[in-house]
Formats: sequence, C-alpha cells, structure tokens
Amino acid sequence: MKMKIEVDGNDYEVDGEKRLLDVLLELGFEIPHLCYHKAIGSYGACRLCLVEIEENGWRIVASCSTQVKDGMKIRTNSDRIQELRRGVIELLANHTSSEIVEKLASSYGLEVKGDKKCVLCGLCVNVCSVMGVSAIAFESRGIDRKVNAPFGVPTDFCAGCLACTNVCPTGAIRFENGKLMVGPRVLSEHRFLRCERCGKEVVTERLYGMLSIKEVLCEDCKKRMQAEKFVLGKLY
Amino acid sequence: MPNRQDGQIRCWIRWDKMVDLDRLKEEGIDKLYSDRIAVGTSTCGIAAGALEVLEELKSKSDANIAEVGCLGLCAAEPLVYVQEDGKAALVYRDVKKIEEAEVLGWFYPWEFSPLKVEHPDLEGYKEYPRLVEHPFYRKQVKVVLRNCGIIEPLDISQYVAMGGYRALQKILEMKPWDVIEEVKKSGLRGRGGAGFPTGLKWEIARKNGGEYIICNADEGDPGAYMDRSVLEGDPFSVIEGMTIGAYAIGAKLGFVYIRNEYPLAVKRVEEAIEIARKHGFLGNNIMGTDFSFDIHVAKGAGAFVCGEETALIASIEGYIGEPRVRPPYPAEKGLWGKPTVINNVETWANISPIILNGWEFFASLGTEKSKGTKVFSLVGRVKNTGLIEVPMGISLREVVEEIGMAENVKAVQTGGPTGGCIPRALMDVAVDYEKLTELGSIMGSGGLVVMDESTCMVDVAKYFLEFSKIESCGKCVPCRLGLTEMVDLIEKITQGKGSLSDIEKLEKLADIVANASLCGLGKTAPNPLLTTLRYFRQEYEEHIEGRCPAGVCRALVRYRIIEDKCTGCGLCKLNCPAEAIDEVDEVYKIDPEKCISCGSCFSVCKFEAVERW
Repeated sequence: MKMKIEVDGNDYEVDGEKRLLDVLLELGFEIPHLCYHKAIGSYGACRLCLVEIEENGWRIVASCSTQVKDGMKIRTNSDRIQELRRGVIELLANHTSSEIVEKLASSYGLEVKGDKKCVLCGLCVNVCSVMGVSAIAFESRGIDRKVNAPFGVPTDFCAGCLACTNVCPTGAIRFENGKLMVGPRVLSEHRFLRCERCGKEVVTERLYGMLSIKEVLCEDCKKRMQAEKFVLGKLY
Repeated sequence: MPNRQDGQIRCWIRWDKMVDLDRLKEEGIDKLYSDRIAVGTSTCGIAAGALEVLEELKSKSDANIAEVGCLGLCAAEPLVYVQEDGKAALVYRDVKKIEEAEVLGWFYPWEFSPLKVEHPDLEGYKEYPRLVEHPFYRKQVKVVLRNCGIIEPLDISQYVAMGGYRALQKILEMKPWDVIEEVKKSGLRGRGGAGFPTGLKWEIARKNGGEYIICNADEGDPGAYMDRSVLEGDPFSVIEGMTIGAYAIGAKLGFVYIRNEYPLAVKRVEEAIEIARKHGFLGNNIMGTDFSFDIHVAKGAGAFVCGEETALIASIEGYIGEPRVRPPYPAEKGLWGKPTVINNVETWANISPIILNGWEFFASLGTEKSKGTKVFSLVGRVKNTGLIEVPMGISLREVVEEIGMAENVKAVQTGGPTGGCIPRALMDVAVDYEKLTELGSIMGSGGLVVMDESTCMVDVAKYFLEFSKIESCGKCVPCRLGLTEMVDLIEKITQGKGSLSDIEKLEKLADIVANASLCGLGKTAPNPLLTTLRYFRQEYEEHIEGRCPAGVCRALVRYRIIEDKCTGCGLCKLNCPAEAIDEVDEVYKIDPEKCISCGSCFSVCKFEAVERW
C-alpha cells in the first residue's frame, strides 16, 4: 500500500507497513543509528534515531520503533532533534571510543574521551537469539551492564558462527585466536577443524556439528575441487 | 458448552459449582460481629511488635483473637481493637504492654466501606472519641482500603459479609461490553502513576482479543507501601477485581506480579487464590457459569524497573527485566505477544465498588479529570505516619497538615523516586494527575514524603538520582550514561566543589534523559532534580558557595565545641564514632582532622555547646 508522508517539508510517497527508520534511510536521509539492524528488528537502546512526528503537537519518537502512517509529518533535522542527538552522542563520546562514535562525535565537534569500545547496543545479543543460539546475554544493570556469557564462564553453547562480530557497529566483540571476546572477557573458546586437503583452519568444531556437511574443506580447496571436477571430470 | 462470543449472556450451567453467597455472608457476619480481639498484623504492625502482643494475648486471654490487616495509622502501631457485648470496636494504640494501652477511639466495622452491607446494631461508646472524628481519619474516604484492618484477610466469608463477590455475581449476568462501559463511565484511571483510563485500556484489549490479565504489585518506591497493605489486608478485593476484568476482556489467565521482598503479601495472595478456587470464585466454571479464569503468582526479584509494564511482562516471560519498545502497547501485544491488561493493585481493588455502587458513585468523587480516591503512604516528618485514602482534588496541605499533622513543612515529595518536590508555598495544589504534572511532579503510585527544615534539598535530589541510577536497567544510552553523569555532578556540588556551570550542565543532561530515554523510568528520573532546581535553586547556589543550610551535606559542615557552654560531661566523647573528641582542660575539643562531620555530638549535647558552622 502506498502512503504519503511529509519529511522536513517535502512530500514523499512510500510503501506502507514499514518502519519509519527504514523508510527514511531508503529516502536518503541521514539518520544515525547503532542498535538497529533490518534483520533483527528494533531494540530501541541507542536513542540516536530520534525524529519528531506530529501527533497532537510535535512528539519525539525513536524512528526505529515507529510504524509509518498515512499522512505522517516528520522532522528529522529540527533544532530540538539536533540538540537531543548531540546530547546522546556526547554521552557516548564521554564513555566509549570507537570508529563510529568518533565519526559521529566529530560531526558535532565533540571530543571522544571514553576508553571502552562497547556501546551496549545489544545487536550481538539479539542476533545470537535470532540465530537460535542465545549463547550470550547482558549481565548486571545500569552502568555495570555488559555483554557476557552466562555466569561469566566461557559458554559451550556458542557455535562460533560469528554473526555477532559481523553486526557489531564498534568492533567491540571480536574473534581472536579461537576466542570470542568483548574487552578482556572471553565469552567462548573454540577449536578448529582443518581443511582435509590443505590443512588450513576452516570451521569451529561446534559449528561443524550443527551444519549438515560431511567434508571439511576450505574455500580455496572447494573452488579447486569444483574446477578439477569440471576440467578433469572426476572428483577426488 | 456454548462458545464464548461477544454480547452473549452467560448461562448458569453448573449447579454443582454454584456458590451460596448468602450462606457465606451469614457465616461472615457471625464471625465479624462476634466478641473478638483483633490485632493488626500487617508488616507494619509486625515491625512494631504486633506478634509479641498477639502471643501475649493468646496466653492471657481465651477470647477469640483475630489477625487483621492494617487500619492505617502506622504511627500508633501495634493497633489492637476489642469488640464485645454488642458494642462497637474499641481501638487501643501503641499496645506495647497490654495493661498500659491507651484508647485511640471507637468505630463501627462497616462505617469505612462505601458498600451497603448488612450488619447488626452495635452500641457506640460515649466516653471515648469516634475514630472518624480523629484528625487522621476525618478527611479520609475509603474505597480501596474499605476492608483493610476490618476483616481477617484470608477469611472469605468475612469478605463476602462486607459486600465481597456481589459485584462478580452481578457482572456474570451482564454483557462484557457493558462492564467495560461501566468502568469507562466511572472515569477510573490507572493508579500505577501514569493515569491511563482503565476502561479504555480494557476496550483496546477486548478489541484485540484479550488473553491475559496482570496485577502489578511490584512496588519499589522508597517509603511507599500501599500495594503491600492492600494485598496483606484484603487480598480478595484484588482477586475479585481481576476476575471482573478477565470477564470483561475475555481473559482466561491472570498473574499477580509481587516482589519477593514482600513475603507476607506473597503468602497471603497465594493462600487467598487457593481459598477462592476452593469456593468456586476462581478456576473452571466460576460461580456455576461457563466463565473460567485462574490466577498465578509470579515473584519478582526486586528490580525497580520491573514495575514498568513491558519490563514486568519480560520478567514474567523469563527474560531479563528490561523495558521493551512501545508501541505496541501491552493491550495490543503483551505477555507472550498476546493482548494483556496490566493494572496496579489499587486499580483492581477499585473495580468491585464501581460495579456494585454504579459508576455514578465513583464519578461523584474527585475532580473533573481525576475521579475517585487515591491511597497514599504518608511518611517522613509527619506526626501521623500511615496509610491514607483521600478523595482526588483534596489539597496537599490538607493531607500533610491536617491528616499528617506535620509542622514546619519545607516540601512534599509525591510520586516516589521519580516524582518531584513541591514546596510549602504551593501545597494548596489539588491532588489530581494534571495539577501535579503542571508543578513538575507526578501522581505516581502514591508515596508522599514530607520534609521539614532539617532536610537539604540538594541531598534529597542526590538520593533520588542515585536511586534511579542504581535501578536503571542500562538498556538505553541516556538513562544509563546520563544519570551516571548527573549523579557525579550533583555529588560534586554536595562536596562543595561545584560551580554554576555544573547546574547548567545538570539541566541540559536532565533534558536529554527526560526526552530521549526509552521507558518511564528514564523519562521521569530527572524530576526530583528539576523540581528542586525550580523551587530551591538558592540552596544549590549556597552549596556552590560552600554552605549547606540544613547542615546535612557532610563535606560542607564542621562542628566545634563552645568552651563557655561545655560542662565537661563527656557525652559527646562517648558518642563520637571517630574518636575525634578529647578532653582538654576540663572542656572537650573536636579534632578537625579526625572529625567525620556525622553530627552525633551535635544531637546528643544537652547544653547546646556543640556548634555547627
């Protein structure tokens, strides 16, 4: 269904039944956001995607958690929004430090003072639950909140799919030497299976158990095998 | 069994499950008006020593001894009343030793209830004052607390004798939509604090195909105990209200979410549910109709944020208790994704009087937009601390100075840790959702903390900000980091190290936290700061100059002993926890190096020889 909306004074026609943030991003508006990913849905934690909509007067909402309605009037760049967004970015810059926060901070002329990388956007935790694994979660509350494995013990439930490291906007969650880590905390430890042909590390043991593959082959060897099959007509 | 459909009138089909209300009522009247001694054994009473009194009474007397809920006047606990020889109930206050107990007044057990109930004629006392004329009770109108302290909480027959379950009987012959209409017309608004119209919430849930009912009893405000007292003193009123709500929206299952710090309330509610089931007021075929509904107790682990409805739902589902994005509201998509009505204890307890006395009765109480009554726990610097229920629209001054008999009031804090402080000059404001919001405070769930001149408003703001910071779940950035920075700044000011620019920074942060946060906790957390800044800005400035006028902030207060006044009694030395006081030439002196500015010497000195500067 097509809907008409007004953004910053201009009229647009958009597909309905969508999140406001998706629509605005598709229209080319620059809305900063850290905790939203299309595949995961809205979580509403970073509060950067705030916009104003008209609903009995102008109201501030997070665009990631608002559905588009016909005739909606939206302001993405008013002074009020800039003020709040700047405030939230300043808080992030005072307490965390990462490439994306530095970029956001510099666009508002702010200095990054924090040291931690993690902004607690929750993407890693949520993607883990979307993957059907739910191996990691938040621990503690308030200022002590952090991403951790249950009871702080490296978990055996993590399959090592690394969806978390892929969605992380700041690079706080990382995979190093077979260990999934956030800051100094080890969330999970993995052993690798090696490629049957070349001996390169290919897949974690636990992920191999979950996948329905028989042979452990690295990407290069797979290509080579396919080519050999095509050229020589035989399979090793 | 016929399918449940909208507008269909329930038929009475299970004669074996039908309940003989009249028989229960007779039984209840017998118990209520027989000769008995009643001891208030809610948590407040127990704290004051009611259990010892109970033991003593049991060992000394062979009279019928009843354990009842809270009569409200916590300042005079343990409260014990005696009913004998066809006379009204005679209340004794401060019953520490039975022989020395003093009479508070007398009352008829039915006179607080708005419901018309059958009762025998009792004779009053001429020599003692009536309880309803006591300043604490004079202005009160009891709807929610109608049975608290009167009935034995777990005796369903006494509850029925006080008009209980008549409302359920009545609505089972009504159409669900008519029940919703009745609640809508009454103007009842959510008593959890936000004040959303209850009838409207039910309507939305019914339209979406209501599935669950939740009673929010996660009361975490410092100094607030309304919900606890209702659950401990009259659990059936909440259960009946929930059953009526379930019938109206078509729910089959309900939950009471109680914090585990209320062990007595948890126990009472669990037992009351069991008793209601046994009597056919819960479970399958309620009162012999084809309407079925059951209630479970869910225990909260004590996070303040779990009082927020979406966090509460997450907690029941077994997830971390943190708020979710709204909309969708629980009435559309709540527990396990199904439409859920979630109301506060007090709201549920209001339902049966509305149904039984009609919406006109409820709408006649209160102001234009805020109807009915509100329960408050009146605490702080008042003479009559206690649980009160007053009609909406009464002024705060009447509540604090007439009911509470407070003197030298400086400010009143409404709405718990996220409410605001209202100064003495503005205390004529009416208790009303909108009026309190205009002053920068909120109605909240009903905590009323009274402060006098000995209270430092900056310290108050610091205390509540720290509370919100600790209880913030940490999900969203403004609440997690913003409150942390605010606490650091206000801490700096109470240390005397602040500057005027810190006040500006605080105001800016407060704006961001209040407007950018995800849930109600963050949105209201800056209220104590904003209201104290609005009404007591001068105190902040004095702190920046290095003075705490109330003498509370330790870093800004010093003590010294005036040599001329010191008699050398040594009481200050005995009480000093830091061993900072020593005798020099027959008078005492405080060693400023060791002094921790606790003020012990100041408060114990009988000769006003210790000076604060």
